[in-house]
Amino acid sequence: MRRLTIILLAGVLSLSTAWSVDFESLMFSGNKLYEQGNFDKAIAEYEKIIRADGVSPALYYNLGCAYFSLEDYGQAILNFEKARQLAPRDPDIQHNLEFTKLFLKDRFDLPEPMPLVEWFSTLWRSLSLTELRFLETVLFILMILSLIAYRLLMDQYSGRAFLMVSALTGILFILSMGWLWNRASADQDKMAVLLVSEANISSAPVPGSSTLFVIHKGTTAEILNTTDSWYEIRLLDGKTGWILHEAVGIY
Amino acid sequence: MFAISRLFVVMMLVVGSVMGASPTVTASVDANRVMVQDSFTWTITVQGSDAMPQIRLPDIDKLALLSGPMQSSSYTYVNGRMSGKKTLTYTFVALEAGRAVIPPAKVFLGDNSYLTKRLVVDIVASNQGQPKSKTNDRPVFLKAIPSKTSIFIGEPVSVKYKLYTKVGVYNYQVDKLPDAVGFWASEVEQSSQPRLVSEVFDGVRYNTAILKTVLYYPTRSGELVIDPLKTELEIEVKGNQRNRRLFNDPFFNDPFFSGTRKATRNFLSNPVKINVKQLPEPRPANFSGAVGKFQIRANLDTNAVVVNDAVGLNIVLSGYGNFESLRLPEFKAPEYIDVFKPERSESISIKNLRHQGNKKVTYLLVPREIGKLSFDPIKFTYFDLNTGKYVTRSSGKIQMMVYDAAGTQPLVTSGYSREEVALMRDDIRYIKAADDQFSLGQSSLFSTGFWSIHLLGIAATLGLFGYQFRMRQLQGNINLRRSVKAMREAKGKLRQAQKLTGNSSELPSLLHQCIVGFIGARLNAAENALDTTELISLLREKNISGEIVAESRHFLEGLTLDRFAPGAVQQNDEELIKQTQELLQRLGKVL
Repeated sequence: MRRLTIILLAGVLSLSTAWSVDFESLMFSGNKLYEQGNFDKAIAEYEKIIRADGVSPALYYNLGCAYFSLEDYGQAILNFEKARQLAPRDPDIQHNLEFTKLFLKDRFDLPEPMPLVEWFSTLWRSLSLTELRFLETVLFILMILSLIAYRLLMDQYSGRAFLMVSALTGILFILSMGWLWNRASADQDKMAVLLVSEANISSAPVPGSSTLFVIHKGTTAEILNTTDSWYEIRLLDGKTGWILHEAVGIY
Repeated sequence: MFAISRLFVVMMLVVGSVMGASPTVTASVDANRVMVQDSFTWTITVQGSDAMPQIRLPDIDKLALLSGPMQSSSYTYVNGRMSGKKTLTYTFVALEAGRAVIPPAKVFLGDNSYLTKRLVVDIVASNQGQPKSKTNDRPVFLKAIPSKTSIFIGEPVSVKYKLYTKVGVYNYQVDKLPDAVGFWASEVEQSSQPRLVSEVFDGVRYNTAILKTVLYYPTRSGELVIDPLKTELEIEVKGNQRNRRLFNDPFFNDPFFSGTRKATRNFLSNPVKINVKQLPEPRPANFSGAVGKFQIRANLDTNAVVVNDAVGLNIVLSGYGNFESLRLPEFKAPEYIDVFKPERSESISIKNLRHQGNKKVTYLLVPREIGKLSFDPIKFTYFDLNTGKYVTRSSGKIQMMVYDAAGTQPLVTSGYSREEVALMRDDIRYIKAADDQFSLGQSSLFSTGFWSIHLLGIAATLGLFGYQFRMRQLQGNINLRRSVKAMREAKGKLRQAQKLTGNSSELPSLLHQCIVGFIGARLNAAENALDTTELISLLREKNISGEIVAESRHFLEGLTLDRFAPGAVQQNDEELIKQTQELLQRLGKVL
């Protein structure tokens, strides 16, 4: 049994080492190409990592920078947004995302959110899904351990303290679980970025339906519904309409 | 029918009697000599007319109308004749010493008019012929106390209307502010029930209450007068003294029996004279009458705007002073900027007996030209009361960048926010180094490991709960515990028996105990009380198959025999132990 575990562990370790070396060298060469101003090729290197299932905030960030340098603001926004999902508190990602938005044609006049709402929204986005999952698991383990400690020391005075701890961690665990579930359902492929220079937004998911309005590259929208080849989207100002799958990138 | 006709006759008589007599109109005052600030009543009585009299009140010097007219009617029925009487009562207050003449007033009764007689009231100064102040004698009086008596135009003076009382006052409501020609007045809010403070005035202790505080801003110069505050208050007055006369006993002198009652009385404060000075000369050209202390700010919603796009210019004047009468400076835009009708708002309140807050005006500007535009600062001049000098404040230069709307018309255009304009001066940040940790793909967030930890945790908790529950059950139930432990104990005895091999004298006894103990524990029977026959009958009661019962019986009897007559059963020890083991297993399955 012990031998089996060692073999398994060694296998996993060798596997992880194998991919990180590969990804890292690809990223390194991508960065080199970027430094030389060869943005097309840098993008190709970065995308090799993505095709090989490699993911990191720096990868999406660098990809976004490369697309920005090629003035492809749609792809730049898409990749910066993906990077932000993985590292929501990274100031560089935040800056480049905001900076790229200055170059977009479509701008929305939105009312200032209330300070409390803004604060809550910032808090809501402050942790990545991985961090949230870690937090939820840690709270769960703490809750279970304190519950077990309480059951074992029930007849002693210290048992009560463990009951309090388990109640507290239980509440925090439930909150973090709700947070994780909500974020997980909200973060996965719920936003679209227009990748083509201009797109007509249709009134129905049918070819030839009337055009409601036109949006430009880089504009983000929330996905409300999906059909085989259309997304129903809602812009920041509340306008809704249908757009073809090919025109947008999803994050 | 008879009753109705009698009533009709009576009514005709009454009407006839009233209509027949010619009406008389009289006027009277309740005092011919009053002191300054005292009130008196002027009563018009009309007799013999059914119509309500209408009066044109003449102008009267030295007097002010405090209240009225109060109307009342009465009918008297004397010797079969009914006469109607109507009275109109006016309450006047004496303002200054001298002779007040109430000229004949015209009283209209239907189509006819009557003149009342001329009346004269002598008003004497309050301290005339009196060594002490008149106020000392009065249980309740009202005083107007100004904060200053000499001020500049536009400078506020606060006047406190203070009530001095030696008796109980039931309400402190003042409905109307006094007239103050040449002033703009603003009342300071206070609670309807003022705080009572004890105070000595002219050597007499009074309870005092501020009924009202009013801020007056003079709008012209000269000797201005704020009229007295008139008010009607419900106060405590002594009732009639009959009780004490009837019961001449100290006990009945107690206030409880003295019969105080509520009465409504009119009160009048003293008028306030204020000397209002002109503001010093020379006045700056753009001075518009602001007195106090002010700051002016002007800013655009955004400093970067697309041509033909609207941008808001906010001008805010804040500070304290005569806000009500001042105007914000006008904004004059260059020709290449269209200016739309401004929106105005203000937020002004009274704090520390002065008006403070801000006045805001927002102009909507639409630049028609591209480039860097700048406007002259907006200036505001006021008279500073602390330094006694004119001060001019400036908003600072207002600048904006007007950009061309390049390319196609965007979906929604708007100005850039301040943060965005700051960001524009910036550049994109550089890429990150290649040493970052990678994870494998967009792998599922809720992986097997994630669920395993959760399931393991739940299982551990439930396992502990289950174990503790079982332990508690066992602790509470001896029989159950015995039954659960039966097999373990039997096996323990078997192990003991294996160690005894070779010294077989105790072996049959131990094996007997092992089987009997096991059956006894499982069937919940006392071990000591069991003999083989009893055990067998217990097994039969449990519907155990006859084969096992017979085998058990045979085996136990063999052991008993071996116990008491060693060597009677020819079996070696190992075989015995093995048989015991087998029997135990079989019994374990059925019990």
